Amino acid sequence: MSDHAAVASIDPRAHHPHRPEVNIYVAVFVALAVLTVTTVLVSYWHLPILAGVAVAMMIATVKASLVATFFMHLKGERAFIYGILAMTVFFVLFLFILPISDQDLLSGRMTHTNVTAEAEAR
Amino acid sequence: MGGRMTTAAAVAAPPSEFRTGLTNAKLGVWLFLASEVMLFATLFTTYIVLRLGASEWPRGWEVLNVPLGFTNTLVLIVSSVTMVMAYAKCWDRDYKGFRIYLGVTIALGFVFLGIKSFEWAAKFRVHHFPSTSIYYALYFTMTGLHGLHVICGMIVNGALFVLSKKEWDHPLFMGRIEGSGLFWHFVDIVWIFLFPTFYLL
Repeated sequence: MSDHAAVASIDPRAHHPHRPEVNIYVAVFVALAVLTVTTVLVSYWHLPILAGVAVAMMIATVKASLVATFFMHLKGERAFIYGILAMTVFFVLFLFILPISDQDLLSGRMTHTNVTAEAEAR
Repeated sequence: MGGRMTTAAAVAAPPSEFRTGLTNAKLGVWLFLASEVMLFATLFTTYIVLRLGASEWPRGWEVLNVPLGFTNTLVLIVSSVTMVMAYAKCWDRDYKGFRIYLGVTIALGFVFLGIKSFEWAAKFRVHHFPSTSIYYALYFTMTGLHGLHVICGMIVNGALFVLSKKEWDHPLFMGRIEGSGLFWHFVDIVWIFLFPTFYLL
């Protein structure tokens, strides 16, 4: 028999563990829409920047998690994918922490104003 | 796969690509998305470092049109729902429903790009370019790169829309829809973070 027939004999759905759950998709959509409206409404309060960032990023993280969990079917996904994602998160943390902490250490010493002042003093 | 393999044997011993429980395509898409996460994370880090070091920074609502950004957020969210519905219709073997949902997903991509181009054009008209300020440099770079991702997602979805005429019954077709969907949802997630970063903070 041909290769194609052998492959075709396998039900494609056998390799897709994610049975669609339309009710959940609709519920997630409603949650995403409500959270989007919330984040915009909160922004009209013009919160202090730190509080504003905290609220906006918290809402965005919840929204992103909903999309990843239900639309990208991370819920009930194979362990191998979790492993890849865990590794990604690990390295992304470095991508955030190292440059930002470096910038924090440098600020006050190497700011544009300081460098200009130093050059003028010379 | 060996040509002499019988149907029963093929089912009992699935090809090696399924040993992780994943198709190669799906594994590949997730690895690609992992690298995309690193790409966008670098840009977000750049944003944080530059904003922390800046003496002044515009608040998003002063320079960008929040209602338009809000509309575009909803457009992408709805397109994510239609994308996952296309997958559901694929599972149900409902060809007509699948074509409708995938078609709507592509159309919503055009709506998103239309609104985004309108916003960009409005900025260019008042001579705001990437060189205008660090804020605009980041705004154009990050929304531009995101826009390119939207275009790529639309090309893949468009190709699958055309291919579905001939390949609807191909055993790997649903995997392609799943992979394309994963990418599309990722593009949605990136926008979920871009929207508050540039419009609301």
